[in-house]
Amino acid sequence: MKNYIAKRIGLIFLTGFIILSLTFILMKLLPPERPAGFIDQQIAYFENQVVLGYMNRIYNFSPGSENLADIILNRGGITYAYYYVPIFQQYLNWLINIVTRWDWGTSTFIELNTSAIEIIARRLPFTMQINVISLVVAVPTGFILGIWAALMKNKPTDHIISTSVMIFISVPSFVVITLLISVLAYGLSWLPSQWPSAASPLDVRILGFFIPVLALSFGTIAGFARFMRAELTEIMASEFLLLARTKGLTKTQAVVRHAIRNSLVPLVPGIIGQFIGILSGSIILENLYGIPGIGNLFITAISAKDYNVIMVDMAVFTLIGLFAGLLVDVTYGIVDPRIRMGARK
Amino acid sequence: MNQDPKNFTKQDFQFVQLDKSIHDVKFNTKPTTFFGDAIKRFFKNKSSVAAGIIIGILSLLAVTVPIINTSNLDRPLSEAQFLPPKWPGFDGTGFMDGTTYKQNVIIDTLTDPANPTPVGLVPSAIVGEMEIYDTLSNFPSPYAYGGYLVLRSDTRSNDAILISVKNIVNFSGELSLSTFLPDRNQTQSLEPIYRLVAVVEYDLGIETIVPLTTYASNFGSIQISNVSEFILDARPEGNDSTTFFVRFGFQLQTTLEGAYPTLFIENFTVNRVGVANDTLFNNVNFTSGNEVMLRDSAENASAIRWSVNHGAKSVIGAILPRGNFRYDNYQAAFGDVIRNDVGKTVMDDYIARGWILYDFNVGITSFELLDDRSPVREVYSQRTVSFGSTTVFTVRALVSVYREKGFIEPPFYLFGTDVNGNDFFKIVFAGLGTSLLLGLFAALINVTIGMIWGSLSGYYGGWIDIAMERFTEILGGVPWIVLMTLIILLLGSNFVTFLFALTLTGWIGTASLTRSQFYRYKRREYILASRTLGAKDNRLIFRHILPNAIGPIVTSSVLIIPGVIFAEASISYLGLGLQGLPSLGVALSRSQAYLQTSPHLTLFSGLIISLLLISFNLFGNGLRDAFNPSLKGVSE
Repeated sequence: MKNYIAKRIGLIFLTGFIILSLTFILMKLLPPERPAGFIDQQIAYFENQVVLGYMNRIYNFSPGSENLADIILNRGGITYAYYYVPIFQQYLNWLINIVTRWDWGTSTFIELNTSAIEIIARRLPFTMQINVISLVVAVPTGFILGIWAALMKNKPTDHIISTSVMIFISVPSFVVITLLISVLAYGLSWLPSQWPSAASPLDVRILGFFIPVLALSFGTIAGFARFMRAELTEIMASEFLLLARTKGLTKTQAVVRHAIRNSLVPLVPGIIGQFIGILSGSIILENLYGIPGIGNLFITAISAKDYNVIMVDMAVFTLIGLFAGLLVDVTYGIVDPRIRMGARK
Repeated sequence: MNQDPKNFTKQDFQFVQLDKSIHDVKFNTKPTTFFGDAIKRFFKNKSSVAAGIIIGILSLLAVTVPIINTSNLDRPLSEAQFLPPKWPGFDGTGFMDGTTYKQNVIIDTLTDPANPTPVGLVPSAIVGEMEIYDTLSNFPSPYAYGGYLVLRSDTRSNDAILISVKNIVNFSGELSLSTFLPDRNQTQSLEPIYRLVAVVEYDLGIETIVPLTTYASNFGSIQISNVSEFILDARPEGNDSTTFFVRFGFQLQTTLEGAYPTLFIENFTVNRVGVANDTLFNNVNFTSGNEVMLRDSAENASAIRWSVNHGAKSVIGAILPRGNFRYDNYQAAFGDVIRNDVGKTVMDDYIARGWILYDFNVGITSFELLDDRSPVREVYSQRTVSFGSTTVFTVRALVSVYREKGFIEPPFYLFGTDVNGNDFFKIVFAGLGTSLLLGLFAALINVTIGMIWGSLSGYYGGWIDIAMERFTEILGGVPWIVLMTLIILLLGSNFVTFLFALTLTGWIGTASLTRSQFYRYKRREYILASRTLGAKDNRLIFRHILPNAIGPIVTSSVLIIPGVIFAEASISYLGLGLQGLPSLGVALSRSQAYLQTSPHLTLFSGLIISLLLISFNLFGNGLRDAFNPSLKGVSE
């Protein structure tokens, strides 16, 4: 097992490296976008690109050699001409910056000349807070609803829970968010319709958590409840539970000691899987509710082609995803000893 | 019969078939196949069948609606923008009949007091009675009246001065001034201290402030009848003229700390005593604060204003009539309107089509309606204007808007209309068609690739598994939203690109599910037993593991379709929606912007997409139960 985990962690970094490299090259293939702004800001932007090693400046630019330059700017009679270095060269420069100086570059649009790592570090807590809170809310709720429905199988309680689970699992998250905003914020004015700024009073900031946490929780609760109900009903019908009852256990004992423990097998990894799920699901939520997290940042960065910020953002998302995948596999083995991950046939 | 097994004797037992030969009895019924049995059990599940029927209906609508519904989605129809839904048979119910209940609409009662009309809306489209009530407004409005003019000081160093325009006045006669200051300030901790002043130009260009009262906090009616006396007394030495430029005003003492003082003025009148209907001070006098503030508005740029130094003026408590009423949006968009300027070319066109008869030389008596399709229903008058040799004819006529827009009957839209005035019903179902097609193709490709990949990886394990897993990890490690964004930005947005972007990582889900199912079953005893009996990999995979594992795989494969619809809608929310084809996601995300004003757009598109996803989930669950061999024979 230790060997397996060590091997996997080594591979995670290799995979992460390959993913980020591919993304970098893919992104550099996109048509470059000139920053909007005054000529001074544009020159600052391109000078920054030169510092980062993505472009070179032609210092003794002479008219007639326009085809050599990709960007030609004029300020106060001085011509600033730049050309892109080959993509592979850009990639190498990018790698060297990271490996030698842990320099992931600076933002070129969102907060000009601020370190990309710093921007992400500032925004990561918002995304994490919301995701962790909703997971803490959703997992126990989902479990309890699922167990309840399974024990009350084919009774009205089960039908009510199963129907609402089916509705919440199916209705897309953006419809739920829209509904929550329009009903709770616009209609009843109980909650803020936008993520409150840091300057708002504490109670408003606490109220601001409700809509995003609710929006993220509904799907997760429904997912867990459905999974739990399905697993538990299947196990309730199995022979070993009948045996447990025959040997004299009460129904509660049989359910708690045998049924629920066995039904957890596919569920524990599911929790971790869900975490990655809501992390990426929160991109739209952050966008619609105006939460200054890394999901919202990602969209802004993509539309502004702020490559350095995109790369760090991607690195965070990717590493979270990869480590969660490892955890899923490891927990499979821990929860159910019959499953040995990586074992030969 | 002896009950205790210890006391059983040989006589308690007897052979069943002592004199019969024992052999297998041939089955009289046909053996059922795995899939046949699954289908039979699927049909026992009522909700899944219902979900299947709903999916069928929605798919059928997605195919037929774009063919049957002839409304043109490429032609913007500005008149029909944001119409609410209208269903036949709901007329007059107030629900789905194309009407909305408009609240707090500003009512114009000043233009025609006998016939108040809502501002910006068509009066003829009001259904039933209009409920009109007065509201207080602190903003000037051309539809409001009354209110107090408010002078508010805003510096600590200078008094605020509210002052009228300059008038030339002969002070040989008597001049009386009256103003009313409501006693509103008692509730405030700070009472304003002010005085009334006249600013007089005794020498051209030099203004002298002549106080008309002393500084005090007087409220109520203030009358000054001897204004001329004050002005004349304040003349500088040697000036015995009686005609000066004069302005009137209020000087409000500022405070060094605390709240800034505020002065409320209800009206202000200056007039020459003994002059009947004096109009000299019309540009100064006012009876409502709203009126003074309106003089500042952009459309009233030439109006004579009261100006303020070291302070600000505003209106408070202006009375603005508002109304609540039920409003027929279809009548407003497509009903008959009276047009004053129907031109000759338009009329000639209808005449040429044989819809109407009209002779411009004869006039309105020659009008005759020949065909119901004619937009011009009646002609009221004709105007003839000649410029030299050319003569321009226009008529004032009753025009039917829906006929003018090419409709034969008044149109109705089941889901209302969007920002371009296009039929949202058609938009939704055309988009649904695209989404379903996209989902179907993506599911087929994903399941095929995913199942093969997952089976190989899960069954063989070891290094093969690790290598295959690394590959899916690299691909799956990129968040799908990122990958889709990149591909769409790189390759452009069309059906094939979308399909490619969705299948590039979409199969990973099926693959990892198949893989974990294989891990779950491949070490079970029955597999070992089969292997001991000499079963080959092929047989183990397809006969023993896959049938057991297929339940969740089938469920997930059915759920790929809603997943694709969801992904397409999500990417639309990021502004990268499917281009060139109608798309449900684009329709939904565009509706988001009009959530407050036109909630029906979000409601209907959200309802359809939710209904579809719910049905797919129910359907998928039914399939999973049907394909689960361990549930065989278990009655619900």
